[in-house]
Amino acid sequence: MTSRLTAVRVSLAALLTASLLLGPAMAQERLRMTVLGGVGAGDGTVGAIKAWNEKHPELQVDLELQSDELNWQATAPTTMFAAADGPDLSWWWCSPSFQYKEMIAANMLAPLDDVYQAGTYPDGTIAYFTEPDGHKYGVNTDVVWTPYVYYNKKIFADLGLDPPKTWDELYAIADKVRGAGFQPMVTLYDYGMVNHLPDGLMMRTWSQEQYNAMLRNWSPESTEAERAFKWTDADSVRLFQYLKDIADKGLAADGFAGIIDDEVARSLFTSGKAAMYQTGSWGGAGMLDQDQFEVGYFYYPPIRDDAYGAVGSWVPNCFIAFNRPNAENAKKVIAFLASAEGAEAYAKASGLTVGRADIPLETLSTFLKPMVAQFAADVGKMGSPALYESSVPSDILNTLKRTAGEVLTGVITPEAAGQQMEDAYEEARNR
Amino acid sequence: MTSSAQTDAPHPSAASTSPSRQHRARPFRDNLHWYLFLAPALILLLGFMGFPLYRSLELSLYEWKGLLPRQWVGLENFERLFRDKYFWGALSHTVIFAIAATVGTVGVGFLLALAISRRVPLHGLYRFAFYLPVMLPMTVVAALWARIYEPNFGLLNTVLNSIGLGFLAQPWLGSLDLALPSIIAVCIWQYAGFR
Repeated sequence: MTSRLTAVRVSLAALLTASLLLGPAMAQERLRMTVLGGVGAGDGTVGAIKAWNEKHPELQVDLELQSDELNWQATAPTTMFAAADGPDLSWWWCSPSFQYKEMIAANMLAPLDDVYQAGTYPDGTIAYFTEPDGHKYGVNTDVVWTPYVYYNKKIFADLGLDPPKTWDELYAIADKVRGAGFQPMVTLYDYGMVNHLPDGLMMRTWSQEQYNAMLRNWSPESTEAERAFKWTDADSVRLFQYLKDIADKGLAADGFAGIIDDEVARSLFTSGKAAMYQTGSWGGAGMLDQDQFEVGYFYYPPIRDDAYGAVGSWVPNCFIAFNRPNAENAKKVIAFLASAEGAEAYAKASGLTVGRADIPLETLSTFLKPMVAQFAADVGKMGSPALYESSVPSDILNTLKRTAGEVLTGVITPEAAGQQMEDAYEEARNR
Repeated sequence: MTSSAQTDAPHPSAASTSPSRQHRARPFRDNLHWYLFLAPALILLLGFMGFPLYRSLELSLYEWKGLLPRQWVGLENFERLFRDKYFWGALSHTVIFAIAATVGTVGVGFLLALAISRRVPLHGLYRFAFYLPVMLPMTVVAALWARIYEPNFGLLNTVLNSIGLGFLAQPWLGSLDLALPSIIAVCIWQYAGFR
């Protein structure tokens, strides 16, 4: 009898313990989130989600890092995101090239208007993310700047060179560097020379009004005033002339059109064979931490103060929530990621700037490298125009890349390139 | 008599089946097991090649990015394709690649086979060495040769420079004249041992 009572007591105790232990676990909800791994955004999202998970044991986020080997960024909207068992939220590129608009039109994304009420973003960012229906479906995570040149301070010092302020100074540096047996500047061809470089040249060649118009006037809905600016204008042709000069005046490394792997480009620089390496601010702080030599940086192409105003975010890197049963919980997570605490966790882990405009430079400087903090200050001063790459449809972007490639390799003239782009715009307007 | 009448009476099913159809049906039934052997391969081919090909042709008549409803555009996509100068450039490169790579792999393969059949010294090693590239995945071959062709520290230019033939060093993949022949050479290197 006693042993039976003991057994009953032990069983009851075990049940009680189990219910105490399992209770919270059973109440815990889980969300699935995706992000591209191996890049700053991936690191930042890992850091920010870790901060969320530590603070909210009742709603845990399982972060799935994606590899881009199968072109995830191009295929995810129609496959993973559209699938019934897709993620609840994701880091994404909120731009036409990545089916952002199509996902909104297909009612796949949940509006995130409430999130914006909790923070301060630049006017341009808010304008960029506000859709014609009045809603915002993406929350900007960070701001990047495409045209940076990192240079080998030792080579520059040995040759008595200073960072250039004009194109002519840059070409003169290229001459001296070549004369000393180094490659002048290495850049990834596909995303650099024919994509991000023309993008940077547009910001430095066109006026702000012209830039904004050229980002939109391929569209049948563009206004007459926007269409007054053309690719055949002298300012536009000059952009292609810069490309031609970069190739003809020997600034680009030998065989630049064959540098199709960024690791190859970077290793040419880090191994001391090239004096300069061009990439975006996302290379940033990491590029400055070279063991072999000290690295400096300068803006490239040179800055034109008169061409700036606060018009938008450089790249619409964003968080999105999907219209699934867990959408409300996904919004809660994004609200945290967009908060000052979440944004700081993202910036600390990624080394990138934040998208919010209300975090003071003094605060950013406590955890960002001086270069990135300075960059954040420059963004505040100069504004942050939307990238061409992020604003035009993929077929127009591809035409630009091919056209820029033909100019760089001497197949067509800058004037013919301007006409080629204008023809592509005209076709897009009539489609 | 009765039995003969019964024998001569037409079979109910024979009235609707001609002798030629019977002749055709019997071999089919007799050979059914062979068709069953073929069936898995046929089903796979139809499922993974025939159907996608049909769907591709069907989708080529629409404007569709995979999310919103499709829009019928007829032959407009083909019109745009044929007007695209880059398409014709790409097509000509493909034709040149196909002809040169075929001639190259067969020609070099023939010479390699000749060397092995003549039992030149180390022919067993050659047989293995010639076939080795065939077994490499294309991605590995591409990554390998991108580094071999790299103009500044690539193996090819480094060797040329070190043996006094630096004047032959080239930006192999970065030159309009050399990029296509360089890629054709890789294809011949990889598949010559297969011929």
